[in-house]
Amino acid sequence: MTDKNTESEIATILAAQLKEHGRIQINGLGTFSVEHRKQEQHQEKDGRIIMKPPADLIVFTPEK
Amino acid sequence: MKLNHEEFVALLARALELDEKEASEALNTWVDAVTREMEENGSCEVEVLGTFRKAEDGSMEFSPNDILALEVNYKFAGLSPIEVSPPTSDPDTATGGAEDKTPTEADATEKDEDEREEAEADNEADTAGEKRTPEEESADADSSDDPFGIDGYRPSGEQDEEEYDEDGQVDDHPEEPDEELEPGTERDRQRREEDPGPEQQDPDLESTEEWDERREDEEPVVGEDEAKSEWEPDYEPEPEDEPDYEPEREPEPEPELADSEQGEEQDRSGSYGMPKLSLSQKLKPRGGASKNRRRSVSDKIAWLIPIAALLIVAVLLFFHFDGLRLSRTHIDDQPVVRQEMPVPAPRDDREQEEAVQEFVPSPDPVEDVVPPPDMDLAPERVDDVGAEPADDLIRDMALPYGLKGPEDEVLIGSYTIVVHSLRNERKSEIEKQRLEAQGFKATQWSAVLPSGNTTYRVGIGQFQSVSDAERAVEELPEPFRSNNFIIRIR
Repeated sequence: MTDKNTESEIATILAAQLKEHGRIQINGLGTFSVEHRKQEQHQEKDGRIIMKPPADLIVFTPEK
Repeated sequence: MKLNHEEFVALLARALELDEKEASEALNTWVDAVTREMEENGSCEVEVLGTFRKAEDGSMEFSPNDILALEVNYKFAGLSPIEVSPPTSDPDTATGGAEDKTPTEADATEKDEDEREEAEADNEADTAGEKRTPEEESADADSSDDPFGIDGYRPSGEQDEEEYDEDGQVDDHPEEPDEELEPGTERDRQRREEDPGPEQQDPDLESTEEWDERREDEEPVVGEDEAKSEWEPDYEPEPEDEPDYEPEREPEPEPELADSEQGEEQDRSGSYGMPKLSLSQKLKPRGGASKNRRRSVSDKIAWLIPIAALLIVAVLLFFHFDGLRLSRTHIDDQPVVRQEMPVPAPRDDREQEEAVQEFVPSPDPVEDVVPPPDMDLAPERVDDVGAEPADDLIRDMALPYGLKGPEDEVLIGSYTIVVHSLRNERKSEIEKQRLEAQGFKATQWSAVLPSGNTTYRVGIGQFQSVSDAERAVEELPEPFRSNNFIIRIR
């Protein structure tokens, strides 16, 4: 396993970039990004219609 | 902002105080370690960042750390889903609708989102804004049982379950009869065990027992038939304490005697199934003290039956007439009470209204008896009765719903369109003033996020329903039209 300090720094940089809604590409791993999901309505199984609030979500796309 | 691999390495080198080559090697080592651990264990957790997992198809999945996800979603933190329409009565139809509208994958993602948002909302509920804070108020309503913050629209199934759970007495009650029944059944069993035969069912148990004992001693063969004959007091002749009368009576039922004797003979020969007792048997002088005792017992019974019947009739009559007397007294008393009570007798609504209208202006001394609250209630009832649909419409129109106009009153439970969510209070205030200058109903409030950060939100308009708000969104200018969200004011 890599040095804990290195891992911590990598994670800190990644988190800081994601908080700024940045997109980070790491070779050999993949790409981290933030996507906005609009509010949307959907129907539950019991029939009620729920409108989900919007959200900014972290998305990871693995490298192929 | 995009950050490619080289830029990321540069940042890492600066943070680790290494040159870029060393930083690149360190990064590659970390990537290899993560990949290897994920391959070996199925997942690899990185603090602050999240967890990498190996998917079923062999690809890599990433679940962000909850705190990180929350901080990234700070703009919308604390927002709960809004229920647009209540559950339908037919769940099958609803399920079909759900399949049409949302794919399964989307559902799964949304569920995760829901849970996260609920957690956020719960945390946010502890902090309060000075002005209205819809997300805070929605968070207040959030709970494990009511994740959407809507009390009245819980699914019926859940509601039923809760009712049953809460209604412990309902569940306990069925046990009570069981407990009562068990001793009863035991008692029955005991009775059945103790019950020696049908003879004990006779009311005069003591005399029967006495008689049984003596019968066994004296007449072991024909005892049963004769014992039965003893329980027919109507056929008993006069007390035969004096045996002198017996020969005189014997000749009277002579024809029967002959018949019965024939019958007895037939019985003994087995030609008839049930032995039939005849008067001759009863009238036959048997003599002795036991016979006298039997007759005395039957005499007692003969006396007791009419006495008991008289007593029952007397008791019934007593209660019957007493009840009538009491009810008459009660009815007689009623008018006095009614005179003091000004409340009109229950009639239909129109009559009630007329009665109230008549009653209010009358200077009758009865008015003094009427408590003031009733007087206050009377006009309200009249208003309710006389309310027309048009009145409701006018009242609704008078409410400050809409996109534009002054924000005179914040309507709890209505919906608003959030167009700004800023960390800077001053900026949000400026945005609010800018929107107000454009004629919008603008409201600014603060929301403290679970991370401790405060966000300032600016909403425009107040709407009675989500669909109204959605229609209003279409009227909004860009960039608000494409970048907004609707929340409920709580």
